[in-house]
Amino acid sequence: MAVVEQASKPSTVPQRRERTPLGDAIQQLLKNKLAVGSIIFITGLILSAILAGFLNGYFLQGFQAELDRTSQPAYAKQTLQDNNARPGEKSENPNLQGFVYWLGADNLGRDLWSRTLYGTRVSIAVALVAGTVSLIIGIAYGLISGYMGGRVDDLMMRVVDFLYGMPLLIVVILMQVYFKSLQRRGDESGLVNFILDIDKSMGGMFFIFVVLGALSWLSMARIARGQTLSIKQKEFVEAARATGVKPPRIIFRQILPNILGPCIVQETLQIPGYILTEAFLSFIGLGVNAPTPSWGIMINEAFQGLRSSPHALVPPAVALTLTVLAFNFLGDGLRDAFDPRLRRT
Amino acid sequence: MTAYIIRRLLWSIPVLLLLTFAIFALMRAIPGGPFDFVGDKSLPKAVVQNLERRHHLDWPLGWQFSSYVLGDDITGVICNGLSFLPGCDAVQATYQLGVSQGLIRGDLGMALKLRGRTVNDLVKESFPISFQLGIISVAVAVLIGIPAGVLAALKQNTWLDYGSSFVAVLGLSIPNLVLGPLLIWIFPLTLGWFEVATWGAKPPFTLGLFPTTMGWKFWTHAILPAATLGTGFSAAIARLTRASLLQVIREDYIRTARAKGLKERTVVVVHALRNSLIPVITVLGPLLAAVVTGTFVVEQIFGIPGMGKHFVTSIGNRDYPIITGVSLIFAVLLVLANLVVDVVYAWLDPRISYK
Repeated sequence: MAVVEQASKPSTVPQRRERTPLGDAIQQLLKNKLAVGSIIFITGLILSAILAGFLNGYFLQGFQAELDRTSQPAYAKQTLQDNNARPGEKSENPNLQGFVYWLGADNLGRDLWSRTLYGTRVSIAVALVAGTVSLIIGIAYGLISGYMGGRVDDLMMRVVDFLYGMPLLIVVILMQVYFKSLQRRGDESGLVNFILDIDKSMGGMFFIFVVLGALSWLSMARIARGQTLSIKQKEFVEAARATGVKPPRIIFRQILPNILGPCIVQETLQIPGYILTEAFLSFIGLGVNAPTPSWGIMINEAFQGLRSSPHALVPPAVALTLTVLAFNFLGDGLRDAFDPRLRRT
Repeated sequence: MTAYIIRRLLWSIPVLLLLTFAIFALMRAIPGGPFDFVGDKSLPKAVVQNLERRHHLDWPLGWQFSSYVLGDDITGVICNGLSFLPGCDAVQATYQLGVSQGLIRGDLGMALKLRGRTVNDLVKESFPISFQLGIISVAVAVLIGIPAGVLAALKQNTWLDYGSSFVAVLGLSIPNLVLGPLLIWIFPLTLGWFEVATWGAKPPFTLGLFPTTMGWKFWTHAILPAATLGTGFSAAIARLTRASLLQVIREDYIRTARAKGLKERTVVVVHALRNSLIPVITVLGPLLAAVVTGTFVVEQIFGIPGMGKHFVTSIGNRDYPIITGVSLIFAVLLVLANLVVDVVYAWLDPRISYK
């Protein structure tokens, strides 16, 4: 009917663009200046994490040869003459003549610009990996729990409630201690050794991924379950079931696409938590291995020398705060865009 | 309601036991023991063995846990009765040493590294400090957060609203790890105000929890850590209060209240605020959990001798009883906090009732 009507008077009514829920949401998101700014900022972070090798102070100022000669990466290059160099100070090392410490140097004479830049790698990796792992586990768990219902649901949610009431930071710390001391002992064989090697090659990040991913899916599971329960009641799912569609297909084709949006929104809001947990672990010496720079380690180092060189605190602190801020704005923006019920308030 | 509370508490016992066992086992699985001194200070093997015997570390894990929970005497009785159980010979040899009275009698065991101290002593000294820090922070959060949220909602879309919303997002996003060192740099180091490290109240505490005097000296120690911990929470509470009050204020019963000529203040305070606080209460659960976690972080930054500080120090020392005891207390706190929140929730919202 509608098609026929439209066809009968094509020229009088101006053609309206077709609107989809996704298109609407994206349009809404793009109207939110803070969210757009956050997307730009996070994209910049990801790029600088990838391109840290070319954006560090030494490469940009033409001292790559000096790095190669001493075979030190830019984030670990120590120039002891230049310890606690103020921002903008020139290097006093004859090999680095003319090198400017844009953001100063830390107490070991390491360029803070380069270290902060490489620090994005850890934070972004933690954000992406822990986020993805928690999203996958949480959605799978919540989907199964919500779809099965009844006893299974009860039992699965009991487990989540149980874990929810636990002091997870303590468990995270203890697991991290366990992995760290395994690594220090280092006489394991076979699979354990293989995993330890992976972790070592990632500068100690692997176990942080494991620990954060393993413990952060709880709220995601709750949300996925809640969403599944409400979608399950909808007519189109009933129709699918009535026409004999098998449960796995219903779960993947009918329910999953519908719950994915809210889950991703929620996950974005959780990402700052992962970044901060990693920073705290690194701050108390249970995070990535030195000299891999993490903002948490850098804050700790700056904190130790706060009296003599407070400027070392600024780059990691600003980077950490802005990153958390950006993910918060993005999460808020996504929520407002994808959940129209909340838009008004 | 009472039945509900009792059932919840009973339910939490197996949960807490499971957690305690997990931490108990995990600690002992970590390579390196409490008596491994490295280098010159390393002890002769016989001494280490004796020390381990002294603390039952030579027992099988299950029996160690039994001693931790039930006490040495009961474990000994079990072993004497059922001596065919594996590992019972070790238990029978040393259970008279009386290492532990057991959790059931409120004994958290002996510290391994700090000779002659019990975990109970340590907790008695350090828990009140963490508790005071947490309570002050929550008070700061509520006293700033709720009025700020109400104000922003009542003056919606004015500069006051935008300003406070912006500050709230900022406060929410600035990590303790940044705010703490920043405050230390600004106040004690640059301006010479307030104190860093240690805490302004020492044992004995009033009622075992509260400082005996809360003079200026106490606040010079407390104000910075509490501000660090409280900022994020007050921002979260302010945002939530604003959103929820804006929703409630559009309800019909508010219009009715206004229509019958009530003063705006009565409408807001008596009619709107109570209902709008319900969502705020729901986040108090996670918030209290975050306070517990937060004291951990803040104690590290400010060098406050609370439980979190002891915990991190004990990990390096492999002081098993301290680690297990502190974890258990944190877990109990979380359970209680969640319970309190549920009860308050039911009290605020009569539609909710627990059976």
